[in-house]
Amino acid sequence: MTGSIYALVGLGLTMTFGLLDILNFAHGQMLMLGAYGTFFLVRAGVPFLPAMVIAMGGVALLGVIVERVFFRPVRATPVNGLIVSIGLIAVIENVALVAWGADPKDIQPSLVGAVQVGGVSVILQRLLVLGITVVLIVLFSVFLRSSTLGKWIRATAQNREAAALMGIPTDRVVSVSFALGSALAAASGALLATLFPFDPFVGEVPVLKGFIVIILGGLGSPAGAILGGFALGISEALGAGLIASAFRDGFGFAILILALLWRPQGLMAPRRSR
Amino acid sequence: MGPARLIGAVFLALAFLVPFAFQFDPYLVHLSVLVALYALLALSLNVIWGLAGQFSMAQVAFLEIGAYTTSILVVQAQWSYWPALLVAAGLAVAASLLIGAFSFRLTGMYFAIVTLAFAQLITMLVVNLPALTGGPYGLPARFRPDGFAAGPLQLTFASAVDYYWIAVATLAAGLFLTYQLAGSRTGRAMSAAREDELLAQAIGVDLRYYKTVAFALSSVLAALAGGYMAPYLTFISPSMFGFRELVNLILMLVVGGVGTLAGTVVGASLFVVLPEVLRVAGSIRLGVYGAILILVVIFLPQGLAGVPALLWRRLGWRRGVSAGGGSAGLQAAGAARLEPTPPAEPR
Repeated sequence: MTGSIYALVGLGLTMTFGLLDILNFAHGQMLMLGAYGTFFLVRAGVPFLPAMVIAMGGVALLGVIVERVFFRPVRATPVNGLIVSIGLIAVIENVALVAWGADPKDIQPSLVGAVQVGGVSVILQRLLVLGITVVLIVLFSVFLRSSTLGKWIRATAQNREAAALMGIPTDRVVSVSFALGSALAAASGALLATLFPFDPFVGEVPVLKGFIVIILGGLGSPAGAILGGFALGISEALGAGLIASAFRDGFGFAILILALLWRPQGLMAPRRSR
Repeated sequence: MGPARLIGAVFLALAFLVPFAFQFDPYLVHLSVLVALYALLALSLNVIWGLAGQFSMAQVAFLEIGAYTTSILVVQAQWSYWPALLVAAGLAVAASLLIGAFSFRLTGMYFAIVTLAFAQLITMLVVNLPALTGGPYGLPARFRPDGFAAGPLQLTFASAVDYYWIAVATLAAGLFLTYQLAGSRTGRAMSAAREDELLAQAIGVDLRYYKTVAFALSSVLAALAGGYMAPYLTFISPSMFGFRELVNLILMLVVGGVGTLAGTVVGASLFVVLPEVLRVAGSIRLGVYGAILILVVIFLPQGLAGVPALLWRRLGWRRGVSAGGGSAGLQAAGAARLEPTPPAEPR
């Protein structure tokens, strides 16, 4: 279950990493903004799903602006991009803290109650979250695989110069994928907010998990991000249940270390010509 | 080289006069102690990242090991302070060897993330061993390092300024050692590892060995900073060594200038002083601080230490290795390059 949200976060991170080689630490703050956006819309009376979609749109727009203003100037040196994103964390979190305060908020689940599935009781809201995530992941995969824009994105990720020579507007492709990555982050935030209370610092843990996910799956591989997300969620749940729940977060890191020793390039590393 | 050494020596000598210049004002001395401790930590990251080109995210964990080991040995095992500090440094080296054994198979971003994973595991251990560490509630560190006489100074650690002396002396020693190292055969091998791993291997540089040495040295510097920090702050808790602190450390060094000795001190000073100055901006001061950092990275990719470029570059350790400024080390730490390295600045 949490695995599906990890996969969503990882997928969003992959969008920026695959194209720009930037590990975008501010992804977690996009997630946080998505949670707040949805929260305020829901409080204003908008139903959850439309609220989430509107928040995704807003955060996507912000993603485009952030890419244009902050990431484009440092594109030649990806590590500087990482550092810019770390600076962005400080800015976005503190603005949010001032604007909305530090007290935790939560979005009321749209489904209340639980169902029995094979003798195990499952909370309905969790099923709903799982369903929405899976739909988003499927939509996104189909988009990347089949649409023209998706093909442009993949081509640009493989080789920016060659893509540009084929007449693909690579700058616009980069903007679009930043928008998509941010929208996915916003969706993860909105969904997380229906399960757990959140505050301006909610983005930090999921984004660390997201990094584990994309490294586990192989940097720049969307399929790897999905696989890595579920692998991480399942190993955490199993580790917490079977070994020691206090070390829940530790199992992810342990799995990551082991996986990298076994396959240093990640489970599903893409071939890239650079 | 002659003048560079001279300038460096003068600056270090001036550092010892800082408390006199502040007339031992408690608030200013407190800020100075923080600058010295953070500079030590920044130097630790600079050795492994700026010199050897390995972007380690585990330095805060070494700080944590230093602080906790010292405090546990002194408070719970009744050790005296200096042996405890020594053991703390030794433990940090052991941890660096362990982490290195796993992580030096990887490069760039993979290395960064795996070291981050190890750092998180260490914090998790601290949180989950409450009998030893006080768990998430932290550990009171109400003890003083044993006093001793250092020349004309009698260090009792009853006042903050004594912590300044010891921290700045350690920092000076660390800077001197790093400066010497950078110019030595070992240091050049580390720079080679940073600039081009493949080429370095091809000419017979034992990458693993040099990376391990740099990592061990960096872990000692961080552990010492931690060992001083615990009794100075009289309290430590896991939240002081989290991801946020790591972010601060990276920003500090980048703003100061990665790969330059001056950058560690400039970055640490700015990190401590700027938020104090920005108090006038009220509760958004940290946000303003972040914005300043972004501007620095975009407009001054070599950090503040790169600004008076000609003067400072001679102080740095990039002597004759490459003409580029601080960002060359940054690029070497990247997983893959999209575009060829931008041409180095003309000298």
